[in-house]
Amino acid sequence: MRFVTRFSPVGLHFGSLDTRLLQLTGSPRGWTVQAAEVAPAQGVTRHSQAATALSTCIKGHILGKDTAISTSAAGAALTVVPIERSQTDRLRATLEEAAARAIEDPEGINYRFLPLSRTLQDANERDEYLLLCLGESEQRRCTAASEALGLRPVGLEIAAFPVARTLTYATRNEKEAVGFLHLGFDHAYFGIAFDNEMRFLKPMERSGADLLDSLHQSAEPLEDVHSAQAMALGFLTDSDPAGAGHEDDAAMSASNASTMLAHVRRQSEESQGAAMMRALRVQGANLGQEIRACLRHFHARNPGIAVSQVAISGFGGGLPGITGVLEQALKIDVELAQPFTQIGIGAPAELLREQHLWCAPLGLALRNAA
Amino acid sequence: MKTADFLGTQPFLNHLQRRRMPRRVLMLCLFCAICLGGSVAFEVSVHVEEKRAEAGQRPMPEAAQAQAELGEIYGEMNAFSQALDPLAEHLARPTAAGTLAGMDEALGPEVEVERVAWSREIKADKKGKKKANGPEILVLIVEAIATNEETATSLDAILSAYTGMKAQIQDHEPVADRWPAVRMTVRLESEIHSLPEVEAKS
Repeated sequence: MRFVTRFSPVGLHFGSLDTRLLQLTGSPRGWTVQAAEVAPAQGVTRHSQAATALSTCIKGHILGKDTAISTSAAGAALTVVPIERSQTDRLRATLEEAAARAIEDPEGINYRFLPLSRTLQDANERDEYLLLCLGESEQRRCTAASEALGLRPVGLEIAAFPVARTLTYATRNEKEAVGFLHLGFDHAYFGIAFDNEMRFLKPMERSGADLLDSLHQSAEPLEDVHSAQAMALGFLTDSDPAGAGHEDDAAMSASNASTMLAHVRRQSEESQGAAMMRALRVQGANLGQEIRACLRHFHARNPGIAVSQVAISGFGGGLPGITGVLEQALKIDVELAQPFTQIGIGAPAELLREQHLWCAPLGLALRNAA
Repeated sequence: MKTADFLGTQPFLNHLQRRRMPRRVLMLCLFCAICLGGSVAFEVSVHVEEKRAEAGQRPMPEAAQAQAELGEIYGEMNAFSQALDPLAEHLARPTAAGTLAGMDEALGPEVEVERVAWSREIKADKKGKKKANGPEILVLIVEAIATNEETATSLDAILSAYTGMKAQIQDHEPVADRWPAVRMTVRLESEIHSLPEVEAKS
């Protein structure tokens, strides 16, 4: 045991596409990345895959054994449950019913709930509870994988909390609420943190995968390109039987065909790009509408608390132009999360390039400090 | 930030406790270091006081010199002690000067003292014999003329009362041409050690 502990717990985030491990050294006056590892792993067995992949690279790199875990897969769910004040005595039963409906797990379901604070005092209003559900099997796999890595689990959260913790710690604005949009691959949620607690959290209908799908669909080759390719191929095949006396004509025809094909390709690329941006704009506008509705709800329950900025984290945040589209839709600042830069954490360049993907593990590592 | 932990609060509290332990050890070590520093400082102050006390008990050079000089003086005096002891013994004996100086006044105007004689004699025992090693007595012989009969009869008593010695009239005879004057010879005796102090009367 070291005389003075100057390292964070190991943050271990089991994401949908990959598992990320992060540990910091130093103190709140100055953090440095001690270990940052990514293990691509998907599916139900991603925990054991990640443990196998990480076990070799973390040896001798991490300090201590305590690890804070988070998960954001399909095995976890979060929902807001409104409950009439007159039915407060049925709170437990209502939440249990809601948890049973939220996810399915043959081993059972664990749930936690947090009352969502509000500033508005109205006797007719309903109380809202944030219900967080986690399947027993998901919890078992998370803890077993961390123990297989030789680590000791000290906390298991749903990823929304470490993400909110990171972005709140990064902005350090106590007067204004911090809005954050996590666009994960198979899930997305919008939350608002204020006064060191979660004031709003709601899953979004569109996830990063939906945005990606729409981009893929819009990027499919157009029929014009196929017909142009066929025409060019016709030019080339027609010119062949003309014989040696017509070599110049054949060469000219081939040149024309390739020029035409290049022109059509360029046109199709441009139109593809425009179509992709159009699709992204449409998806972004829909996402913006969802967020606007969330903001309206938040302002209705918490008048006087301003949300002047939204930070985007997760896989979807890296899609081109998404921040601009959302900024247009919301009419407030939307920025890609850069917590390492904002907090001033010394980190390798490759980690700084994709800071928005490290919000959850960073929030786990900063659980003591934030 | 408030959170919902699916492992419960205890594991994370234990984690925080583990992190706090080294700090507690550090604080304990600091406390021990402060105590050690305090004890060292106390020891140093005790040493200083001890040295001061030793310095206080050590004899002063001036006093030592005076003591040596006094010893030398005593040594010198010891050389004369053989000669000085009889003198001191003599000086310690009683004197009769005071008795003689006030005798005229004590006897009054009716008595004229003609002769006074001092002597030391060996005291005779009951049989009238004097032993060589017998006790010494002081003998005072007073010859005086009492001008009247009354004074003559009480002269021994007056002298005895004045000197505190035993008085005895040894002889008396009338003085020619001076009737009723009588010449008296009175013997006064006293042990030397029991000779009372006679206040000199001016």
